Amino acid sequence: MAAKAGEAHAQSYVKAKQLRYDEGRPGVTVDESELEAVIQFEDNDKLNLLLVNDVITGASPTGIPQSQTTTGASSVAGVGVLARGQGFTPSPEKRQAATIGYSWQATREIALNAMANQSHESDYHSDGGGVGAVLELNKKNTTLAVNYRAANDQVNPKNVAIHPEGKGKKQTEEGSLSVSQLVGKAAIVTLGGFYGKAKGQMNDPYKKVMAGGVEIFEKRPDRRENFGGTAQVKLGVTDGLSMDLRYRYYTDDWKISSQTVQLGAIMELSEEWLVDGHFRHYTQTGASFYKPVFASVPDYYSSDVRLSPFVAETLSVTGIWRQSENWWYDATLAKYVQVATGGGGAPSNGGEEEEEGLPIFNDSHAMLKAYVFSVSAQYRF
Amino acid sequence: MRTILHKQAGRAGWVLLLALGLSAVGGCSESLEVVQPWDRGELAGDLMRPDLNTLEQTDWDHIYFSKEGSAGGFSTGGGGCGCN
Repeated sequence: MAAKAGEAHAQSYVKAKQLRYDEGRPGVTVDESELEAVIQFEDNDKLNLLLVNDVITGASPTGIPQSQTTTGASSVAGVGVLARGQGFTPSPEKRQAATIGYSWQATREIALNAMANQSHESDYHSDGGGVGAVLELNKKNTTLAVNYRAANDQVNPKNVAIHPEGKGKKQTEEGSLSVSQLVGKAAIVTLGGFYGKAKGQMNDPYKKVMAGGVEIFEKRPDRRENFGGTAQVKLGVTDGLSMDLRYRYYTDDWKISSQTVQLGAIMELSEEWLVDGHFRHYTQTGASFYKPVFASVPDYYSSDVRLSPFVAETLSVTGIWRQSENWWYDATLAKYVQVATGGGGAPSNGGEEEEEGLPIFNDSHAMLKAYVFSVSAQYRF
Repeated sequence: MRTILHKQAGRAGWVLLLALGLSAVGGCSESLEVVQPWDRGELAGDLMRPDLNTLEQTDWDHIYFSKEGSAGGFSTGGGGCGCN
């Protein structure tokens, strides 16, 4: 529900979208169906609704290096967590999620908003909510936005019989503050900051490590605190081209720091056609307790590659067809790649010489490569 | 003790930096030429709208939340364990 200085009146619409996220076998494939509705009222109040249904198949790494995998499919069968290369396709997993939000234009300068969301999987349930306020200043040239969100999650893994400590609750909170400023007839600058904390069951109940030659479930600290800042510039370059540059810095007490740079452009090819593309470069350091293999058992330990040092890149192109005033259609094709950057005992590329070029184009050493396809139809009124 | 002090100093530094940034934007806004409502044709167009395709951003946020070690800022991914 972020607001930007100079934001135009939103249009009411209903949008249906079908998305596929595909890592290839034996990785994860997600087929996602979404229904979004945005109703704009005459007094500037706004109602948002989003319904999501995911069907997840395939497998993701347990954390145990493939060469050292000692257990077969039996310990975790059916939950989509087998090590890569084991050639096993578990039964589909499903996720249903719903989000509802309402924005109330309290005065000409102040809008208040509230939202609630729920997400449910057979082994995970999340209830969340949030409130926020938007203050327009300086003849709507400056916009201040403040938001607070909280969630209560319940982790109920299917392998609880073999991992009794995998079950538990998690609470997360995040607050953010941003200011947007018009710096011209077609230029907006936004600066923001955020702070978040989480406590409770932070382990991924299916991830394992190899410690002292024995395969055990990972153990993470039960608290996490993070903060960071964002900056964004959106610029109308010509009548038919706008560009958008974003930067985010993030750091937390697990010793993960990340930087994200995203450059986007929207081009108007004709009255009917728009092309929207973006390139994102992301880099993160590893968590202090991350290693691919442990010689002994420390206080905290994880071999989850999501906590390892790596670089990730995204390249996405969307074509938008404004077929009529009421009907819009769009299609997206995107590629996402993660490459380990070493250090902290990250997964290596086997000692081979680093190849030059952006990982998105040179993905021979990628630890994760995924394609995203989506199509949507939107009715505007 | 040293770690706690470092942590608090780091957090205070970020809060200070953010406050300075916000003040700078707020302060600059007074010296900037005010864009009047009748000059906002381009801002209201599809190319400049921040809400042109919000669902796409929501989807990407969820993918990054599920696959990376950090999240937050522009919006929150949320929902689901991202275990896969």
